[in-house]
Amino acid sequence: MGKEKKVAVIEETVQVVSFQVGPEEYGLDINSVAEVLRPLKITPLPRMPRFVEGVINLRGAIIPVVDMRKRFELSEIKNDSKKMRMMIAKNAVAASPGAGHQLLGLVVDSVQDVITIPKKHIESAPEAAKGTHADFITGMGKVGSRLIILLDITTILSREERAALAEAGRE
Amino acid sequence: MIGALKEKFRNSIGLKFVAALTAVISVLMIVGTIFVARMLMKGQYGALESHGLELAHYLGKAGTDAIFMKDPATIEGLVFDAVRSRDMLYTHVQDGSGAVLSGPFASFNRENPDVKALLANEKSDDVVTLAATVRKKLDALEVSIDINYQGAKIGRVTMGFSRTRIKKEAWTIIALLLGTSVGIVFALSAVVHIMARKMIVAPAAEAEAVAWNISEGNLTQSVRVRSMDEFGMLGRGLNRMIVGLKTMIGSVRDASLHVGSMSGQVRDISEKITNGGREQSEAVEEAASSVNEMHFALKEIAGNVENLHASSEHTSSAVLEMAASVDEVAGTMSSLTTSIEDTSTAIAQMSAAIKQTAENVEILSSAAEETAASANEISVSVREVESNAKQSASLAEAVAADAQQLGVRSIEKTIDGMKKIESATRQAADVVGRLRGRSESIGSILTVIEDITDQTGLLALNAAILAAQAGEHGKGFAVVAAEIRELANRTALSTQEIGKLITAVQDESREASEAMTGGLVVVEEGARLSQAAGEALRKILGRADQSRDMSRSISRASAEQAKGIKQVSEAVDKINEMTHQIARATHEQRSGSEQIAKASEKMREITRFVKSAMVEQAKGGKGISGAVEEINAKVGMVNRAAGEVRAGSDLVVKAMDRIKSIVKVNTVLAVGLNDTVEIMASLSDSLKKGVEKFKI
Repeated sequence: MGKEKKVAVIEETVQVVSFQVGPEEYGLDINSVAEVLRPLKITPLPRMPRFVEGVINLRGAIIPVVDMRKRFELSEIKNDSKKMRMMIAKNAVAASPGAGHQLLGLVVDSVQDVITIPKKHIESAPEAAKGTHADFITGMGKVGSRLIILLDITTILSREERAALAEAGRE
Repeated sequence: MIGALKEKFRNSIGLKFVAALTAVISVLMIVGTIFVARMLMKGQYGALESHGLELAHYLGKAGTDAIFMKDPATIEGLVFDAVRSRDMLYTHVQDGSGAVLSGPFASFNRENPDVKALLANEKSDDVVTLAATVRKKLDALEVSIDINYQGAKIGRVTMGFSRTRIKKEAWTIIALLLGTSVGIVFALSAVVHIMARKMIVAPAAEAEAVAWNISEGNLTQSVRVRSMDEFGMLGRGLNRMIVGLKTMIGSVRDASLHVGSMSGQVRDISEKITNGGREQSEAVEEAASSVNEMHFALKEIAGNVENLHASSEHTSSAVLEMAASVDEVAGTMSSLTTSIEDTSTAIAQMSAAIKQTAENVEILSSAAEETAASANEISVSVREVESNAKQSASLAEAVAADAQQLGVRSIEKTIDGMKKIESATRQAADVVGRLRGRSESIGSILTVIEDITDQTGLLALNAAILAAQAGEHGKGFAVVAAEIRELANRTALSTQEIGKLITAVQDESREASEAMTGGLVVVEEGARLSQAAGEALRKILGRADQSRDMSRSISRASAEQAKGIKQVSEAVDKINEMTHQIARATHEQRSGSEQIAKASEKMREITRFVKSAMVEQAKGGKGISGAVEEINAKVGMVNRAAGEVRAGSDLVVKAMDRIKSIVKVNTVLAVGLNDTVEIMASLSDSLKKGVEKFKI
């Protein structure tokens, strides 16, 4: 009996930072989030790849920024600008020598909370729902009545995009 | 002996009670005893019968085999044993055909002396016949039962029982019951007798003794009342009667004493009455002597009256002469009447003339009166004009006063009020404006708070992320971060609510300031209107003053007019009067004076005749005077006699006065006597009543 309880206590969990883009709620593993910010001034650079909005200057570090609304092909109608947040994600850009922490800024509608989800409440996304260009969805987390779409930061940009970004960084 | 008992019974209520109670209880007890004995005997007989049936049944069961086998020896043995049980007189067994299976020796209880004596005389050996004899002679209770074996009747057992024992027991119980009843009757009688003697006989005897005492006139004793029952009430009634009798007899004694004293008083009064009577008789004697004197005086008076008669004849002749002269006077009087008739005709003529003049004067005076009336009417209408003018003047004054006091003042007050309202509204508008500014500054502060809250939330989120990345070490920090975040959320919510409230306040203050501006416009309008009203009122005031002045002057003028008219009418009246007087005077003077002259001549002649008649009359008067002198002398004598009569009558009067006084005393005494007699009558009445009460 005691053993069973212990097993229940050591249940494996995943901590995610939940955020909202459009009507849906998404989750990103907490270890891949560096910081949450209020939107900083985005400076567009010449000859930047099209999926990148521009760069920001976060305490001296130059970080490219991607707008998640555009990314998820949602209308660009802005909601409450006060709630708009910029998430700084780690490991988004492919590892390359001298690229630092490989940080990427994500513009989202709002950031809710840090949530702990037991792994058994996570289900893999149905293949039919994923589609060809949405392989960055790792699963669906259920927290009460909320359904959180869990994202993989490493696949949020396609290989080509990552390469382009790495190239741009190098330049 | 029996007679004495009867006497005692008649005199004692206790004995009557005892006898009645004893009779009733004895009858009840006897009836009860008989009822109980009958019930008892019935029960006992039933018990005996059932006992016998049981015995017969057992005998049958025991002897079934023997009866079936027709074994008389065994049956004999069984019957012999059975017949010796209590109260049993006989037992016999018969088979199906009725033949007796038990012998005559075994079948009868020869221990019972009655049975033994009966059987000793009987010669028969037939058991059934013997049993019938025993039953008849000893009044036995017979019980019989059929013995059945496999549905067929194989025999019959018959038993006879004696009733003697049961009867004896029943008699014993009856005797006991009767004995007990007699005891109860005696005890109850004793109790009733004692109670009657104590509670009825003794108090009755005492009351009787007291009543005997009262009848003999001894009222010193009273009944001792011990209880509140009927006898107690009887004793109380007697006591009350004794008290009443005592008071009555006391009053009778007092009344008799009063009667004694009264009789003494009566005696005194009667003595006084006799004395008064003696004095009365003396006074009456005196009165008689003075009456005699009076008689003599009266004789003298008669003589003088004869002389008086003679002188009266002289007087009558003189009177005849006087009558003749009076005739002459009558003749002159007739001529006097004719001249008076002439005078009257003249007067008639004069009156006719006067009538005509009067008619003319009436016409004149009516014209004058008409003039006066119309003058009066004019004066009345002028007076109306005056009063109307006065009224309108007073009304105009009132209007002016009202306009001055109420209208102008209230308008001024209204204007003041309007000004105050204006200033108050301006102040309120200022306050609202300031409120609006303040709420706007609060709004700006709120945005700062909102910003700070937002940043705090963000910091907390970042802290949570960092804590989660730190793993186990960051757990405490994670909790703190979560709480800070929660606080930030709550702050954000309340800030939003405050923001909504501030917006509402701003809206409302804007509305309020708009309303104030509208109010200010209205107030200014009101002030302008009230000033206009004030102007109008002032104009009204001026007009009212003018109209008042005008009506005053009208009233003054009409008053003067009225005075003038009055003077005119007075003058007319005077003229009227004067014409009347003038007319009357002229007519009278004209015709009246001639007639009067003629009448005066005739009157002169008549006076001449009257003079001659007067001379003759004087002659007759002398004769009369002589006769009158003689009469005077006679009258003097009469006077003297009358003096004597007066003295006698004085004595009579004095005597009569004394009689009167005595009679007065007598009447007073008689009244006293009467009073005394009345008191005595009332006392005798009360005495009579007291005595009557005493009889009852």
